[in-house]
Amino acid sequence: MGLKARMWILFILISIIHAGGILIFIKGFLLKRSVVLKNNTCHVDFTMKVDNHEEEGCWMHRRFQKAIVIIIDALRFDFAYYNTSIIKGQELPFENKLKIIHEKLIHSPQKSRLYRFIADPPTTTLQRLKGLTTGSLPTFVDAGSNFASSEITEDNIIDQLRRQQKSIVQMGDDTWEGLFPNRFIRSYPFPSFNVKDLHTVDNGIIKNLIPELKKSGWDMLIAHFLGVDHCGHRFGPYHPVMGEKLTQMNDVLRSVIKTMDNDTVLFVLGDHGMTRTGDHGGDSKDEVDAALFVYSPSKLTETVAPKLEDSPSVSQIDLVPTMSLLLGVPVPFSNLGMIIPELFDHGPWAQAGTSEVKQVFHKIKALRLNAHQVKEYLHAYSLISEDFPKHQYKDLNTLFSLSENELQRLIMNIYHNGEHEDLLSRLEKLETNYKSYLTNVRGMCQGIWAKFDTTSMSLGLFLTCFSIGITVFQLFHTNSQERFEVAFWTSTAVSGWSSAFVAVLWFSLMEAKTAIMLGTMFFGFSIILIVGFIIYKLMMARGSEQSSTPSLSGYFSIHGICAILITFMYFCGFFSNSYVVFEDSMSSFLLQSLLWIQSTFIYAQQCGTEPSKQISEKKRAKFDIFRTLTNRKMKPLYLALTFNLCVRLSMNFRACREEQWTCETSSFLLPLSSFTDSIPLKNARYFFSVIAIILPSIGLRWFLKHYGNLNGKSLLVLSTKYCIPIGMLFIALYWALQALPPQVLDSLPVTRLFPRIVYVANLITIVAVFVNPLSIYILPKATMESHYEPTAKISNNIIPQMYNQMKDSLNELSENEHKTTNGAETSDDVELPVVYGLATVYSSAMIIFTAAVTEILYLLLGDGVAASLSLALCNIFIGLEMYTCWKCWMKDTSWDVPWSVIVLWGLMSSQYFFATGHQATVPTIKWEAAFTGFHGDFESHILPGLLIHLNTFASEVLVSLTLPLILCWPLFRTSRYSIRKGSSDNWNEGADKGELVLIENSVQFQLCVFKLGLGYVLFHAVKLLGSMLAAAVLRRHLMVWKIFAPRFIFQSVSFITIYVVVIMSVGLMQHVHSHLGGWLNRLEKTK
Amino acid sequence: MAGTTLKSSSTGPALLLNVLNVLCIILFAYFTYTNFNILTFVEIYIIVSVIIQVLMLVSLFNVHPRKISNVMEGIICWIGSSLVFHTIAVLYGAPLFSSVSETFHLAMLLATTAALPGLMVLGIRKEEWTRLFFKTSPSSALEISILASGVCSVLGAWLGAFPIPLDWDRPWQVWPISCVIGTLAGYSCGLIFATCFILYQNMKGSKSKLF
Ligand SMILES: [Zn+2]
Ligand SMILES: [Zn+2]
Repeated sequence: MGLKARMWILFILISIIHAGGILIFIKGFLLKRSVVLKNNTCHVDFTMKVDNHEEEGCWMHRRFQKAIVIIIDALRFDFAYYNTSIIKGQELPFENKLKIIHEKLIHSPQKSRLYRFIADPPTTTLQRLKGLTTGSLPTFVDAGSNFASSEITEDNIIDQLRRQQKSIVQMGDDTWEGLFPNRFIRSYPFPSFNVKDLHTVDNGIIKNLIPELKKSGWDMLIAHFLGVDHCGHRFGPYHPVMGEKLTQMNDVLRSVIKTMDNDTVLFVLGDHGMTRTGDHGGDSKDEVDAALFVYSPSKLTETVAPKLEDSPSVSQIDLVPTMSLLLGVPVPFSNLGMIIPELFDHGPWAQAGTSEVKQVFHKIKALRLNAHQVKEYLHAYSLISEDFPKHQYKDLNTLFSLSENELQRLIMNIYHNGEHEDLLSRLEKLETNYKSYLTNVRGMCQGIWAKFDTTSMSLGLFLTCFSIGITVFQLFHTNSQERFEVAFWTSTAVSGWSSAFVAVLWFSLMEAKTAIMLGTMFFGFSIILIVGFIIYKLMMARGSEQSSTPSLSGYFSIHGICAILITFMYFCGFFSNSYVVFEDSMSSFLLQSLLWIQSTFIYAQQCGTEPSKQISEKKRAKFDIFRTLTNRKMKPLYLALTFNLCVRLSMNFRACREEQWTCETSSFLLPLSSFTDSIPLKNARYFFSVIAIILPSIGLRWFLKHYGNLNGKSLLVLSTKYCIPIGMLFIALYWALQALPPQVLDSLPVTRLFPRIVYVANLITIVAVFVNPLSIYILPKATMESHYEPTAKISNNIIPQMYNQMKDSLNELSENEHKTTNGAETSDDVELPVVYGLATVYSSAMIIFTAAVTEILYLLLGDGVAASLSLALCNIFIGLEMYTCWKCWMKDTSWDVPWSVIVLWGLMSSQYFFATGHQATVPTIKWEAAFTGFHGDFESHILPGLLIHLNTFASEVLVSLTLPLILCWPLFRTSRYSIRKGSSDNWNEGADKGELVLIENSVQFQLCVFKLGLGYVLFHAVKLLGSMLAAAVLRRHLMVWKIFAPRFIFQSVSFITIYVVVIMSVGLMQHVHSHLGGWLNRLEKTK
Repeated sequence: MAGTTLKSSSTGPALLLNVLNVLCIILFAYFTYTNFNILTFVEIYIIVSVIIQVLMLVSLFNVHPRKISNVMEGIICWIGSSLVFHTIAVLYGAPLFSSVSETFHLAMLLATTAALPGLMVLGIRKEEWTRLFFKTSPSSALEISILASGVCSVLGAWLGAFPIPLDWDRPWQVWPISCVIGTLAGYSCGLIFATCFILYQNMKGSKSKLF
């Protein structure tokens, strides 16, 4: 087993432990409610035996025969509410558009009601539909699975209706088809994923709705409109299109109401609201406040209508029991909602309209059935899980039985004595009792389903700490091969066992307590092993002192300590909600601070090393500002300034979190088509973005040409030469199309063609890198002679000879630098081919690969924020130059990358996550990235998922990809420095070999690349631990679901992404390495 | 200006200067505590501080502005360093167009605490600055104070930015008040630290460099 194989084993083992830690933590943190697979039937023992209503309903007499449910997705309360105080013509686009609701509320107050319809977060459509049909409370874990609609297995109103032989028609959003396959007698599904499409779903429904209403043979009709929601996502509520959309909805409602007969009830509801920007998913007031409008042509309630301004609030899960009992079907088994009592005080069959007592009694009957159903559910749930706090559960049962007894007594009373004076007040008290029972149950359940499994959480945390420990241990032992060998066996043994254990634990679903016990023992054992090993090492170190000291110096220098402090600050930031909210500012602040520390350090280092010259008085007196400013020693200062300028500019690309209330949305985040009133601004932004993406590609071309990597006709060179510019061209064209109005844009087929060309072009480049990553070129004999004068040296050892030649050629060609030959090869006394591009053979492959990936990222980020990625590239470049400067001035030839540079890279990836228009919240995920090049209708969710993922973590991908460049860059850059200086200052002996030194010292190369990758992963693992620990410690915090939980989830996904990308880039380095080795071997053979 | 003549001067005046500066800050903070306007506070502080320092330097150390051009250079450098601090603050994320005056006041304050003492004592020679700040080899008690107070006031301003995002809704969290407080606190800490260090050196009786 070679060194390389061992490294991969370690990489993979550590990743398994990390993944296990994350998964186990998530298991404990994002608890799922257990599903009780029981259904309520018509015949339950708690219905009143005296009430016999045969055909007319199940548990109680039904009020309506048919129901129409119109769901207007994202119908916020203030969309439906008519504000009479607004002067006509001054209303916002979403205000006062649903006039029909207002008319009905005014003209027939007892036939209509408008409620605030409070949604339980997460406010995503799928979760809401689950709540609206089952009456159960959601848990956080479902939030992410919005696209992976799965069939509802819990008891729900749709199945209850079907069991009562009622037929349901559904039209609109196809999510319903996924949730309830084969439940509807007729359905008209339309794709819901394509947010750009405002009209297909709505027009499809409108075409079918009225004909369907006029047909007979349905008992419930569900129409789910998506236009308002899509309009919100696309334009936000303040766009005139929203007004058009709501007016259209108004017309739909008007025509529906016209067709209704007396035995039909209409529910118009929004599943959630939307934020100022038109997004949803969180739990802000705007997202949670939906509207519910109930209407029937016949009398709905006896209660006097409340004032229009103070519409009462009901919870969304209250809809299920209300609808069930109104239609006379059993309430679904796991419902936790409470009926809306005022809709149950009117019973035409019982002539309840005449007496108040009868009205209240009718309400109590419904509430009682509701309470019984909830009690049954609690009982069934308590049998399968011990979630309920015993004390609270007992109290609730007492309250319930008290109410039951009181009801019995009252009924007996009425039976014997008839109605008497205090009957009404006693009944009203009873009603309050039932209501408080139902409300308390809901409160208790909300409490326990946010309860955490601390054992799993601690285990997850422990695993993360553990793998961080292994990483640190391994990092300290990777400075020489012998030390690595010894440490490897320990790490492998320990982490191998641990990961095996994680696998076992995961597959046994972690239910068994014994598995956790086993795990604890296992880890105890592993830790004893590690401690034992460390003690052993210390003992050994005492014997031979030199071997164990050198590795620490890179970590415990001043800048190293500063970097550790800054990492620690970032870590601590996760524990404060304010710092998580303003993490965008925090990350750039820390990034800039680290850079200042580094540049000061470099400058101080340089001042310290330079010999203190005795300056003459005359010279001292004269201060030449120009000479000071153009001094080469000022370079780190300028680099630092440019770096910070880039970071500062990138702040303009940040998105706003809801909690950042002073933040204003950047104009870079708006779609190009929304610049309707200012054409110059639109053009300016477009050309700015295009120039921003073209500049780096010009830089790339220049770089490759300069270092001779763009010669010949290999696949790699050709694809770099042609595919990348073609891709840029089509990105520019695609963005130009974005300026068109959306209606036009959607009908053009080229909108999908252009991005696809970009994808293909870059995939070709990526494949080319993998097929042959060597972008070197051996100059043919004929043309060679004009360039190169052969020397007559012949050597058995080919490589050193090559270096000599290369050095000579460099010296000769240093005047005409337009085509530098960085590699030369001699094999024969006659034929001496010149090899171009050998000095940058590793970095050119990395850079071409990065360029191809960056181009895809540009495309996915869209025309607004893509420019920010160019700033990131600029920062990476400056970081590399700065490090080169550092190495030159310290005359440092070791390949060990200092910890502070790794932290710099880590902070850059964090900073640009925010600077590419993202925040660690669900509503800021750019779902529209899934449509670059594709229709909305996907067969699988892998492709759109990948596109959205790449959009979200673009900065992590880019910055992590360039990580190995830290190792390569100084190798060929310092060579230029030392050659320019001449041979007098020969601190860097191998400098003229460029990157070829890497292949010469293969072991060192492997160790350094490994160490670099591991160190970078370590930084992010510390961040992961921070967010994890914060989520665990602050799990009772008010903001946990809003701030800490999403932060943790984003961090874990980003960590996994980074791990994968680091493995990819390290793999690519090794790929180049082995290819180069093969090439040299072949060369030697041909000789 | 005379950097070399200082080496012969005693530690006493330097200590006195430090103590006076710290006292000045404390008294100043005490009197303006009730009526807090950050801009006037900074302006008045800068004037008072400059006067005290110039007077002290002239009377105690016999540093006298020999040529008017040197004074002019010093002032230009002071303004220049304010601009540099302003630029750095903007690069760190201070608003570019709004609250320019507030940012510039902080920059002036930083220039007064971190750069002005150095300008008065070291002049504008790069070598001297490099020696003091990058090679950290102060040659007199005064230079120790300059080094410590300069570094600490920049550090204080940096730390002063930390409370800004917190959701405590305090008036002093507004930009740049916390940074101004941080600067002054850092400056005082640096002076106190320098004083202690000088006293410690004296107590140890190491009469090598400082006397
Ligand atoms: Zn929705
Ligand atoms: Zn939506």
